[in-house]
Amino acid sequence: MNVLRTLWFRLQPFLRRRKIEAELNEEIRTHLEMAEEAHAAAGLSREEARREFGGVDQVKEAYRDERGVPWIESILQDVRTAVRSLRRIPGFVALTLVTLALGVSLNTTAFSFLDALLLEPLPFPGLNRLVQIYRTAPGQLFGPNSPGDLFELKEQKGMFSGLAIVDFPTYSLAVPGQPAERVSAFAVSGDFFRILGVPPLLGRVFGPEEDAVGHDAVIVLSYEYWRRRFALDPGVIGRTLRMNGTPVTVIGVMPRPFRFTRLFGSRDIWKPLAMGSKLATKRDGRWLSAIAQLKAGESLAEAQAKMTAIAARMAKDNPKSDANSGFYVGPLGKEPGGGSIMIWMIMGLAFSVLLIACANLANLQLARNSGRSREFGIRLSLGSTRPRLVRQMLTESLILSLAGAVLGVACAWGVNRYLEARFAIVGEDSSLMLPISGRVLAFALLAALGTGALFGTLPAWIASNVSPNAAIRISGAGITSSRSRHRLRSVLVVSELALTLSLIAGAGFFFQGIMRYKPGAVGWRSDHVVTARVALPSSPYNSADKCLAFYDRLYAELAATPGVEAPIICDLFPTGGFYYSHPMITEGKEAPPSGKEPVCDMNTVTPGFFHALGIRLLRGRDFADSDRPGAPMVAIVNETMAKKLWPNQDPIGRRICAVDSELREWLEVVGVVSEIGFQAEVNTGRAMQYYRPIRQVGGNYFSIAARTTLAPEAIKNLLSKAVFRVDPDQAIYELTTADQAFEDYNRANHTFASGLAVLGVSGLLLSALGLYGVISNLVVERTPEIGIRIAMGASFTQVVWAVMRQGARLAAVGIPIGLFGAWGLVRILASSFPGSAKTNPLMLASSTALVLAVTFLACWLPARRAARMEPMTALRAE
Amino acid sequence: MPEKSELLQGTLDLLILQALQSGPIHGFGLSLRLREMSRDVFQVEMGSMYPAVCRMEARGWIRGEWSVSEANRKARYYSLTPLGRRQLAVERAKWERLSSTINLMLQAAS
Repeated sequence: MNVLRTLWFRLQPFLRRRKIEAELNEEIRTHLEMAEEAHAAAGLSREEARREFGGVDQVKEAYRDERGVPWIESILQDVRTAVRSLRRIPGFVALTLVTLALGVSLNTTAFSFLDALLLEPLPFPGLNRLVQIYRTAPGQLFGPNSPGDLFELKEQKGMFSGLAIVDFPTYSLAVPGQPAERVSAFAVSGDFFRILGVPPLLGRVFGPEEDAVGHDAVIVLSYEYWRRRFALDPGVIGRTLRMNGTPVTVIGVMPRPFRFTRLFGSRDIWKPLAMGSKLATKRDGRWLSAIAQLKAGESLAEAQAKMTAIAARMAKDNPKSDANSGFYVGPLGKEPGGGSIMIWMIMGLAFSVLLIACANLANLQLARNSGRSREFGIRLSLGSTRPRLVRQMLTESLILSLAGAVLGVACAWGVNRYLEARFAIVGEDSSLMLPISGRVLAFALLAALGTGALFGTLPAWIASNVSPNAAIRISGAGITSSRSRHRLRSVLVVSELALTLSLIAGAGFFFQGIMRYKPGAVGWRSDHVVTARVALPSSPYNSADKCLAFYDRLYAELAATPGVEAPIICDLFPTGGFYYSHPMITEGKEAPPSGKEPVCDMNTVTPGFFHALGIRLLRGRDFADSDRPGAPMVAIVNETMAKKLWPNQDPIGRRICAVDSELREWLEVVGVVSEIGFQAEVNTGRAMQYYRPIRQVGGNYFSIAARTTLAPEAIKNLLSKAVFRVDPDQAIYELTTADQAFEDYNRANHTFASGLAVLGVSGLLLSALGLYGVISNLVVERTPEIGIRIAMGASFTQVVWAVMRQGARLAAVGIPIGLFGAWGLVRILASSFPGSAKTNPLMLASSTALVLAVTFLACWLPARRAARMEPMTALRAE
Repeated sequence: MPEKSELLQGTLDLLILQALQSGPIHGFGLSLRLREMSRDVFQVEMGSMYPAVCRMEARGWIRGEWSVSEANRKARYYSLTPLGRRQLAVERAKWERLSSTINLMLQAAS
């Protein structure tokens, strides 16, 4: 309390400076008057009274010291001085602020990615005891689990204090009487909500008693879905909806922060994972995720050890499915393996831009301070101390840094909003949020202040190294210890050049990698095609016949829909590439050794598919309505496959078989079509592809598509209605045009690539600016010398070379260092991203060329200016 | 002129508190009173008295208020606060302990 009062009392001068000063004057005046009167009354002189009082100013100073807080006072004074002197040089301030804002905003945005994707903790209480269980197997690190393994684990007493199994199905959900809508769900076992420990916003959540078949007709809504579909109506609790045609009751709504975006993506609803005993013991398929709660007091390592033992036992019990497989237990929400490396790399690239910005700012500061040598010299000779001068220059830097931080964060905020929009993908709700969180803000501030300290300290120290005598006697530049200043500037420019080259090579590496995967239709037409997905639930669509009937009726409905030309039903519409690939053997030829069979991509389609997408039928026939179960099994292969399997022979009538199919069905080739591709740059015409009639294969999940001239909105209704007429409980989802689908993929890629380009270009620009500044400054300092040279008859070329030689010397050191750094960086990157080129001489060469060109330009401009100088003007500048 | 002595470090606060005990007084009066109290032995520098007054006001021991003097002159009057009265007792006790200890030590030495 006492301390607070004292502090308050002492802070008053800052708030009421004038009043307090006036009061002190008044008090001393009164004192003196009274003393004078008293002395006069005693017959003494007035001067005596004043003498007795002592020095008025000293008293005042002593009083002020007691009254104020000296260090705050002197800092405030520094700030005032700094602001005054900055106001006189708007150009310097503007350049500094732009540089800082650029560096800080790039880093803040990069850091907000890092924060959102890696640092932000999941909103679950007791997170430190939650783990995720992965299955590891040769060729698959951190994979999903099989139901058999997980249910066995679940029964194991004493392993965990809770284990939740998570599946990711989709359902058709309908409010009775309205068309169904496709929803994404988490199907979770009963422990799920208990171990995550997040209570519902409304209603209740389900527990273990509801994850048994027959008791599972309940769902919990996510906040987003509740908002989107039910407009936040609390009356939704207890309502009965139709899910896949059967009634389910809504029992709860989860709160908004209960998002799984980072863990499993965001989904619409939660539903009990009720698995029949047949499915629950299945081990030869792994698709489930598992979250477990460690027992109190147990460490991750202990759990991992126990799980390793269990994996060994499972491998012995089920050699067919579980041999060579292990378990990996990792903290929940921490991506295992190197998935995060990309983000750290981007952060590193952004950081190097900040370093370049630092070097630039230091250079700017040096240039400015060299012009202030005279001022410093005078101040030193008037009794100021060197630390005091340094402190004042640091104050200036810090003020600029703070302003830069504010600007940078403001820019980053805007950029983040833009990026969020660009990364949004149709059909997924706000998948990436990049808020400026407290952590991000702290980072930005730290980056800006760190930059301020870095670019403020050294130049300040050097500039203050002035001999007062020299400063007053000589005018102009070159008074400070110009050698140390020049050395520092050279070091700065060299490191800038080296950093820039590494940065451009690193950004170029990613850029190339991204641009190689440029999705697009190759060899087929994606224009005017609308496509959507349909998923038939296994009840009532539990047989191939029922699915087949659905295809037939839907195909007829689509064909009869006005505005729809050439309807298609296929397993996966080609914007997504091929989903299945099988090792194949051919009839009448010796089969290659197991594992060496040619692997071919496969799609299942309806008749008219090739025609609708402009894929050329080269030989034989298209599929026909008569290619059904019971009729001979047929296939259409592409050119490449035909040539590979039957070189120089007619493929029509030959038979092929997928080695890994359970039935070992032999398919007769009835046609040959041209090859299709999905990635403009990568496809080189060597993919083996074949097609089967969808009616002979079946499947509950498929795409529908149609070539149309209608607007997407209109066709959406028509497609929905067509499905509704076939079965009102079914819905289409992910409706998009083929071009739009490609564009979505491309947009995310493009945004990412442009981000990298921005990083590279910013670095390049900044270091060009830095080099330009340094060379220009040298020219200014050498003006008299150059003037004499010109007067003595030096030619244009000679002068240009004299100036450019200095830039060339810096480049000769900086660029080899940068090249070495770039080479190392690309090697490290290449080893983290398998499949990318190990070294890329062309890219390194072009990066070097780019940096060299910019270096040349940055030196050429000041050199030309120097060479065009009027010798008389130059000499007069002395 | 009597010989002027330097005040012992830390005793100025005690003396000012003691001087204010007999009632509110302005700066000049305070300087006179301090001199009287010491029978003109101590010369209190204004450069020490005013900062001390300021410090004690910050600590809440004394309070300064503008008021009008007998001679109808505006002046800042300082008075003891309850906290200051307590502090005076504390400082006195401290001083008495110190001086009696020093006395004892001097007697023991002689």
